[in-house]
Amino acid sequence: MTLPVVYTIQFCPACDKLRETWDSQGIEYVEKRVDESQEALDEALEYGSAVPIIVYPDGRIEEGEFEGVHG
Amino acid sequence: MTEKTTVVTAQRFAQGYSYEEYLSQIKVNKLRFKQYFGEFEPDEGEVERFRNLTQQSGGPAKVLAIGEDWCPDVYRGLPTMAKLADSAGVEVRVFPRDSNLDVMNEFLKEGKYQSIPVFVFYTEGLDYICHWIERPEVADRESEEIEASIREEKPDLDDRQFGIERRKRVSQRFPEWQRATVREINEMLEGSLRDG
Repeated sequence: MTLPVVYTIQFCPACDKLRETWDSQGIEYVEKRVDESQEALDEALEYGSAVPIIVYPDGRIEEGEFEGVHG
Repeated sequence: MTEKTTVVTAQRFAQGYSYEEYLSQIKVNKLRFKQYFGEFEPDEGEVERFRNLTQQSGGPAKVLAIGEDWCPDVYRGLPTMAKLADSAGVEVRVFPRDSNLDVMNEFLKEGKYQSIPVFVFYTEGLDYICHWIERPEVADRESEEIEASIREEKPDLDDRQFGIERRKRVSQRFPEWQRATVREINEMLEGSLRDG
């Protein structure tokens, strides 16, 4: 199964909201911390520049906010 | 009348990293910070304008910078500020945002967003002059124009291809956005010093 990939940083209201919401709903995802890894950051920059960046299995991308909360 | 208080005391200001110290401890983007410092060529007239401001009575002598290493606006903007400050002997102290939220919260964008970078200008005696946030106006405008033109020229790109193309075109504008940052800082400082 291919999971959504979420690029996050440690301190970010939208990233917190996403983790809290998806964890409580049992939605599985792969989290990549761009503040910890140059590789993850360079990868993320191909998708966008504002966290969280969500890459869905069908290729859709959302960035910069989650459910109305800004990164 | 109540005087506004600040957490930025002389002691706190001195606890910030010098630009070189900041670079030595960041986890990501060290090469990008070095690139945007090394390749940046500010307009000589703007450098002279900044130097003149620093020589005015009550002019800028210290800069408190807030940033995080993963942020594109920071790895472009902070080297810009550092190079401008170097040109005029202005002291820069860098504070990572996430471990200095009390400082950050004094300079929120629109009173609510923890946008970075922030450059706060102070006199030699650490009296606040003014502060600049995030990116120059031209960067917002051109980012929108770039996105619109990609959608028009290449409507069939998927989201990732679009992101790569946007990144490529936006990065090409970084040198101009660095120069625009300096112009905006000079205009802001001139306005603040004129209005007292």
